[in-house]
Amino acid sequence: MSSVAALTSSVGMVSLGVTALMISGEFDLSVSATFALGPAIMGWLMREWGWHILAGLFAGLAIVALIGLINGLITTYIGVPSFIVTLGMLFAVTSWNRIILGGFPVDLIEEEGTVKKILGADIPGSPIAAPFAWMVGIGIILAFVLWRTQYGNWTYAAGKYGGGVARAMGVPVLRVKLTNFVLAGLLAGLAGILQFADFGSSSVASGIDINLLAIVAVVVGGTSLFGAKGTVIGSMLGAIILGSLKVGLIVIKVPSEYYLGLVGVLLVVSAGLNARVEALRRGGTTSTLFG
Amino acid sequence: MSTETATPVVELANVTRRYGKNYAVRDASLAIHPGEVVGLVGDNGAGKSTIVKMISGYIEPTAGTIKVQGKPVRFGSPRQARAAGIETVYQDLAIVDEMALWRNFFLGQELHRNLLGIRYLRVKEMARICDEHLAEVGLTSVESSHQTAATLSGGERQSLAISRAIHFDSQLLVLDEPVAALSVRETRRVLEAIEDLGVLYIDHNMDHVLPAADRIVIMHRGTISRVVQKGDLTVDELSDAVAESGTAAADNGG
Repeated sequence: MSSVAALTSSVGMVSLGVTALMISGEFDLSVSATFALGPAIMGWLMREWGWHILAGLFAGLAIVALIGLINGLITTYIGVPSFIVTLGMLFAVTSWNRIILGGFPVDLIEEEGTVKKILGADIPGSPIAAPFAWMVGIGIILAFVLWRTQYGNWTYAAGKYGGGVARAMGVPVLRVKLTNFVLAGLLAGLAGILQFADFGSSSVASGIDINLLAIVAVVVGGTSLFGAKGTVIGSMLGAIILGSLKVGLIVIKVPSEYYLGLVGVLLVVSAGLNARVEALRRGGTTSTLFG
Repeated sequence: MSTETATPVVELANVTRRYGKNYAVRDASLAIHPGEVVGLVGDNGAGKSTIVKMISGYIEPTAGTIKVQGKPVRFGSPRQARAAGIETVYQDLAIVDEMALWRNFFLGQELHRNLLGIRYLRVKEMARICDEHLAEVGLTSVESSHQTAATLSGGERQSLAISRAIHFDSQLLVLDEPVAALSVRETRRVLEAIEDLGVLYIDHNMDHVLPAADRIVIMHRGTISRVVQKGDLTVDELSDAVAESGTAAADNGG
């Protein structure tokens, strides 16, 4: 259980922001680079400039939020599709990570260790690592926001027809999308920082593939690639399924090389099931090979 | 007509919209009075949708004024047009299928209470109001406002959008080419419900517009070429009038 939690928390935390963003009709492929950027900025400021851990933490979070903001501004105000913008950002930030860290890992050193413990250690008296608790806590808050606040209503509506319906109803669609871009960047960076606190070091390789794994968790959790539909709880369950799959393979002694292949199968099968359920719910109006 | 003396809910005074050298709408004047249903017809490219976009705040006129209740207005966004009481029901942009009926009904104007700066939705109240209005416009097939809008038929979706306009005390309801024309029964219910609301009904199908409209405005190549009062013309005569006005305008150099 504790190993599932450990393997779930990073993908899960990244998937939270990605879920809200996808519901509002946009993508973020740059989250894997942002994941590594948060700890890179934090660790570099502490090592090179002697910044306090909290100052490093907030600087790291500010920079990753800024990355999300830039993604959002280019997408909403200039009108470049988010797929392209965030793909470009993925390369740009990956490059930046390499410039900052120069190929070596950065260590997280804190004298008292209090902040490090709050962010990354096991919760006292339990086998659950703090990053998992952070994911569940933030996930529940975000789920509530999407379900029961005006902002949540606007996020769902912004995902339909490129926000056309919402705009006609007077919803500030660009602002809603922009906020979700910032959220996606912020939570990706936070996930990287939590793993940094847990492992004690980070490198340019941190978070590799996590952009795509987060999309897998989100889709397995039932969120539509076309927007306007999905839940944060579903994405967390999707992340837990991915984590369980990894642990399950280790337990039954299947070589780890098979993991990504099974993730691929899981993705396509769950998307297929979603499509069939949707077709049945609509009275079979969607035409497929099977009706 | 007695309504002619009242202040128009919305009035276009010599409105022009130009794109470079091309005129999408040229010197168009049009008034919609309380309780009046005005049909706007014309071929593709006649300027109907440009009129709709100006009234609903998507684009601004390059010349001329739009007045609401006699006062000149400038809409910088659809939100401002909506705040001024103009509710536009687009053919395919009216409803989010994936969302519950009450969420659609209150979209953009959700009832909420402020908790620590968070706008927390008053779900029960919104669902109750939505249920009442759906019953009022005769959507009896709807079991609960918690079902998604995907479960509604085309006419029912129009009715949902119209009941929304009535609830929010709109001045003007703009129906932009409803895909599924309202049935006779639905039309009657809507006309009963609107009372003092002005309605601008845009359609290229004369069969849809004629029974509903008090007055029909015919557009051709960006100008208003003719205005017809209810009962003056049959559907065939109206179709001919649209074609004729086109020829006349073309002869004049368009």
